[in-house]
Parts: sequence; C-alpha cells; structure tokens
Amino acid sequence: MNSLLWKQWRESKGLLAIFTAWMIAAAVYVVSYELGHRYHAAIGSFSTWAWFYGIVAAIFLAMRTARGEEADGTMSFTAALPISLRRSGAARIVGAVLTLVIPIVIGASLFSLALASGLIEQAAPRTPLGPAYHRLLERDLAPFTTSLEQLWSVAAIAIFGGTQLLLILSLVGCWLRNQAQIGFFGAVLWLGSFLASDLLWYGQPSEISQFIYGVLFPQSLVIHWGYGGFSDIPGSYTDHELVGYRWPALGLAIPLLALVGYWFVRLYGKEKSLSVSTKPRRIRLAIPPLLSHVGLHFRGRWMALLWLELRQSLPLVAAGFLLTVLITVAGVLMERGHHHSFGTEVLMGLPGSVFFVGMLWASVVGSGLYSADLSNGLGGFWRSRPISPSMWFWSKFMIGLVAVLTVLDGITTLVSWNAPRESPTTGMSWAYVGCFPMIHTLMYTLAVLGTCWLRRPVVGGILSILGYALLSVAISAFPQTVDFDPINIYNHLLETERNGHIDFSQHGYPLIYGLLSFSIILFALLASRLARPLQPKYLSIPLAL
Amino acid sequence: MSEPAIKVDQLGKSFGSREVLSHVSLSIPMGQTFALLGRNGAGKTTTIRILLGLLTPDAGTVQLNGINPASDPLKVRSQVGYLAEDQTMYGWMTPMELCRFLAPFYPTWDMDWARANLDRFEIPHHARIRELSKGQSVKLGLVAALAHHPRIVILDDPAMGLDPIARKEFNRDLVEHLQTSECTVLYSSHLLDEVEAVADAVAILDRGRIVRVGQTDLLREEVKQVLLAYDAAAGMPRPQGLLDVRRHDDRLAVVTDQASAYLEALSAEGIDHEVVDLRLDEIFEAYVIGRTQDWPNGSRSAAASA
Repeated sequence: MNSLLWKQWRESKGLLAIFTAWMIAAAVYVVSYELGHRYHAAIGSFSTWAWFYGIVAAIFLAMRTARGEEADGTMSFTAALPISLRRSGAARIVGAVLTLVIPIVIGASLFSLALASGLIEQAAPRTPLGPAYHRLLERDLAPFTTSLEQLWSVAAIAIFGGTQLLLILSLVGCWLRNQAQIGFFGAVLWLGSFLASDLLWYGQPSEISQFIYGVLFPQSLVIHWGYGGFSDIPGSYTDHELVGYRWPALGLAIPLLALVGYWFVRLYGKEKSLSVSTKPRRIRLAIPPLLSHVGLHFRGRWMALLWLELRQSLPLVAAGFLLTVLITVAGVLMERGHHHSFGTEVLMGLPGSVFFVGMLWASVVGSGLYSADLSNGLGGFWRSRPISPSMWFWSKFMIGLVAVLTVLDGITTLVSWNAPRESPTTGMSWAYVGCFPMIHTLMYTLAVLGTCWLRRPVVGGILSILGYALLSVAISAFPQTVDFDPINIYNHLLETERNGHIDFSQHGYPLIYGLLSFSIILFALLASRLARPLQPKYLSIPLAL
Repeated sequence: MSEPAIKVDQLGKSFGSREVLSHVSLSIPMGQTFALLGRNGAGKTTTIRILLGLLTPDAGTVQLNGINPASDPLKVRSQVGYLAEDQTMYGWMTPMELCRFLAPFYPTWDMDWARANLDRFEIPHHARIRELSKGQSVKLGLVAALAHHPRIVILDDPAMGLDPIARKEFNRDLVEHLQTSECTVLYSSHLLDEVEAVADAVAILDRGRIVRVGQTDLLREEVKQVLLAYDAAAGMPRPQGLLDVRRHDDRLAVVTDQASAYLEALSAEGIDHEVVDLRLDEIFEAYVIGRTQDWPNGSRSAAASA
C-alpha cells in the first residue's frame, strides 16, 4: 500500500502544486481586493473562489482518477501487480481527495492569518432575522471568532462540495469511455450544481429541510449573493449566507461520501479488470443514419466542410441550449412570481441563463470541435487530404462560432426580445446584444486556442474559462480599473438602457470591447498557427500535468 | 528512361539533437510496388511524412511525379492515396457519407468505383463507421485512399492491428487492386512475409539510413545463408558482404550479401558448404540485427584446435 501511495503522490504532486498556487493566489487576491474596497465581504469572495476551484479541481481529478491509467496506458501494468485493483482504486481516490482538499485548507489558513492580524474584517453574518438582511454594507462588523467560524464553514462546504463532485464523477467515469466524456459530463454537472445548490434558498424553507438537503448536497449549505455594477456600488462584492445546522449536516455527509467512495473502489476494481481485455460498456442512443440514404452530393469543398462542421457542432450547441432552457425552467419554478404566465417568465429568464451558460458552453463547443480532429487518429485522416490547414481551421472556426452565436444568442434574442424587462436580470436588451455574443466569442476562441495548443479537450476548455476568470480578476482587482470589467460595462449599459437610453460609446464600451475584438482575432490567429499543419501530438508544445 | 514516380535524394531530418534520417536516397519507377522496411523508430513514418509534405526535410530533395511536396503539398496529396496504420474516420459517418464528403476534395474521385469496391469488400454502405469491424474499417480506408485513382499510393503499415486472417484478406485485396492498376506503391511495413508477396523492390531502413535497396528477387538471389564447417571457415577470408554469423557446435551459419562471390571462393577452395535460400524477413533480420563479431579468426581457431 505504501508503494501505491508513493505512486499516487508522484502522479499528483504537479497538480497539487498548481492547485495550491491557485488557492494561495485566490486568498491573496481576495485580501487585496478587500483592502482596496473595504466592503467587509472577503469571506463571501473567498467562498466563491473555493467553490469554483472545487468544481474545476474535481473535474480534473476525476478524469485522472477514473480513466487516467487507461489514458496513460498503464492499466495492464497495474492489473498485473500482485495487489487487488480495489486497493489501487482506493489509493487513487484518497490521493485525489487529498489533492483537492489540501489547497483549500492552505488558502483558508492564510486567510485566517489575515483575519487574525486585523488586516481585514468581515461584516456580521447575513441572517433572515438580522437587520439589513439585504445590505451587507449597512451591517456591523463581526467579532473575530464569528468571522473565523464563517470562514472555515465556507472552506469546509467547498471541500465537501468539491469532494462530492469528485466522487460522483469518478464513479460515473467508470462507465464512461474516456477522459473527455468525464470532462463533458462534469461540465453538465457543474451547471446542474448551480440549480441544486440554490434549490432550497427560495421561498420559505425550514431550517430542518435545509439541513437534510445539506447532508445530501453539501454545497447547498451556503449561497452567494453578488452585488455590483450599478451606480451606488463602485465595483462589486459577494455576500454569503449559511444554513444554521451546517456543521452537523457536514458531519452526516461524511458517511454518505464514504459510501460513494466505496462504491467507486468496488467498481474500479471490477470494471478495470474487465476492461483489460474488453472495451468498456458503451451507452449510445441508436439513431438510424437516415441522411446517409439521402443522396447528398456536395458542390465543392466548402459545402462538404459546411456539412461536416454543422453536423458536428449543431448537436453540441443544441444540447447546450436545451440545458439552458432546463436551467431557466427550474429557476422559474423556484422563484415563481405569478405576475406572468409560466412561458413568459421562462422567456424573461432565458437571457440571464444564456449569458452564463453560453460562456461555459461556447468553451465546450470550441474544444469539442477541435480536439477530435487534432487527435492522432483523425489527424492522420486530415493530414493525408489535399486541404490546406488554413481552410480546415477557419471553416471549422467560423461554422462552429456561427452555430454557437445563432443557437445560443440568436434564438434567445429572438424569442425573448418582447418579454417583459422588469429587473436587471430579466428580459432581453441591446446591452446584451452588444456584449454577450462578444464574450461568448471570446470564450469559444480561448477554448479553441487552448485545445490547439495542448491537444487535450477538457484541459483546453477549462483553461479558457480560467483565462477569462483571470482577466476578469485582473481588471476588477483595482478600484481604478474595476469599471472596465466587460460584465460591469454590460451592467452599466443595461442600467442606462433601462432608464430609457442606450449609448454604446459610453462606459468604456468602445475601448474594452474593441480590445476584446482584437484579442479574439489575435487568439484565433495564434490557434491557427498552433494547429498547423495538423502536426501529430509529439510535435506540439507539451504541457506536463 | 522515364522520370521515377518517387525520387528521394540525400534526405536528412533531425528532431532537436536526434537525427532521424540521414542521406536517404530512393528512386521508385512508375508502376513499381516498393516496400520500405524498418524497425520501429527506423525513420519510415518520418520519410512518409516528408513525402506527403507534412514535414520539411533539413537536407536533400524529394519529388513525387515531379512535384516537390515541401513547396506544393496539396498538389502532392491530391495525386497520392495514403493509408496509415492508425488512421481513424468519423465514427458517426457512414461509408457512403464518407465517400460523398471526400469526393469534392479530389477532381478525379470515382464514386462508381468507390461504390463497387464497398460492395466488393462487403462494407455496408449505410452503417455507422464506428460499428464496422477493424477489418472493414481498414478496407474502407483503402477505398477512401484509392477512389480518386491516385498515381502514387503510400501505405504506412495499414494491416497492423488486424488478425492474421484479416491481414491476409486485406493483402489479397490489395494485390488484386495493384494487378489491375498501374499505380506506384510505397508500402511501409514490418509484416515482412506479407510485403514479400506484393513488393517488386525493397529498401531496408535502419536507424535513419538506407542499408540496402534492390529488387526483391535479386535481393533473395544475392543474400544467402551458407552452412559450412567452423574450421573450414576459419581458414577463409571474411566474405565481403558479411551480415550475420552464428556458430552451432562445429558448424557455422553465415549470412552474406553478394553471396555468389563467396560461394565461388568456397568452391575454388573445395570446401563443402550448403546454401540456404532466405525469406525477406530473414534477410531483413540479418541486416538490422546481424552480428559479425563471431567470425572465426585464424589464431583463435588454431589455439582451439591445439
């Protein structure tokens, strides 16, 4: 067992270093931001960072835990060792959980020092019975011990939430075929977790129901409320709210998580030993290839490429749109206002969902479209064809992008345009049209760039999200630049539009969105260079993770 | 004399400090089936990638049908049919969709030929490619590589991964096609018994260098194994083309190129010997892992007999 743990350590230390650096950077950033703005809301910000980290780390680690040995080609070697595969599975999952947990603990410890030293202070906890429930800025400061308990509560919830996602994804990964599918499934679960964690925060839920729900779904023990982007708040802050019986809920969640972990270990041993000689089971909807019987003949290469890329991108984009609609419907069901019909409320809520889901899904489509073609197998297919790398790259890029923008933003704009615009988060706007297609294009391009560079779909996609997050962090870190955050610009434009006037020459829109356009072109050109000439993997730039 | 279909002259390629190809020269006439033999890492795939214009050589020149792939790779690829070992196709496509998709990329694409060969290889036209067997996939790859009637076909270990029966079947189909077409074929493989059946000429590539090139029949004619008494061999000079020496008790098995000269010398000295014909894989083995240090020298032989 010691050898297995040593092997696990050797495999995980690189990721552990990256994740630790991430959480230390997050703690330093949150403290610095608080020092700059003095909102007394640092714990809420730290909580969102830890939650975001937990999801990304869980997806990465689950991919490696469930299918890493197959991807590395070491499964046969491990299966031949004189130990049970269950033990190997146990070592893998324990190593993965530790790799996820340790960085959050280190980040929270650093944050504790900042609180203990008086460098930063936290406002009193938000409670339904307390004064100024909705306004953190009007609350008193919390005592140090209360702040410390709040901090470690959000840290523990992020740990439990991330661990739960890691265990579930690893378990499901035993049934999935490869790492990319685990990553794709992780992205869907990620979106689902938004709904699941907020489910019992609306209406008048009892504490006991929140407690029971928290046992089953630890991330639901905290909710984040974001404020900012409007004239009375320079910048933005994140308030947080915790369930009363959070610690007992976390305590009871431990055996449930252990059960999922045990299930994974059992399945890992069983599935892997089988998969040494047979392919993993595949679940696939058998849709008959009807179009094959239609005598489609393409007039020229562009038509053939158009068909190919549409055939590849549309199902992906449609799945994203369907997911967005489901999220919107679930959101409407949770916050039913009864002022409008159900359909109208869905149309009102759709832009708010597409804005966020589109950022993630544009990355999924971008990396999904390129990763297969750049693999050794399909790469070989393309390398032997008389097609220029530029034609291959740009046809794929443009058709995929148009599909994303048309299905996600175009349809949403069309169907939601006449829906009532009652709050900043409901209804369509010119501000949306001017901002979010551009942001979705940026995410798509970043994902294409990451995938062409690294030749690994999930890593490329997640790097694009991280890239945007870092850009956003860098801009919003300073009071002088916070208004140049693309989302803040959208908020300002929307505010003025809702007041009856829209002017895209204001609020830094021409500068920042001009820069975004320039960046998109630059990143796309860079990606086209990195993909050229469809070189095999060993000739691309390596990244050892 | 007509221009060779493939002409490689003093080709050199390195990746960083690792030299992969050095002074590689080949000349493959029109209509010839040429086998490029080599172990893993010998430089076969790098040579093929340079031929397709996917890599630029560090030294030397390459021409396919008079076209330089480094300067006009698309023109080369439109005239070449290429099938790789690990080539996959879109699993969601059907064979018919694949053919329709590829057709616009090749002005000479022959859909009737493609359809007829899908039938001949018993490949279902409208089944998803991911549902085809490995053997069917390789044959579909062959159809996709040949349906534009290329004048040059490059096959990079296409039958690897198939079971022995499927390999034989694939090669039988390949031979049938080659007999009816007049295209030039460059066949890279390390399944030598199968290459032997189809190759007119071979080149042996070892650690980035061509160590032997010649007509297959001629090669078999020139490279022989000679069995003779150990002591008798010790009294003879070392053969000019010595490739491998193995001692079995008091007998010596010598594999040598230019065997006729050595056999003449043995006969002239009245030394009894037995000549064994070699298969291509045995010739290849002698060239790439043959050991000549066991050749008996006079003094050691004298000491042993004393």
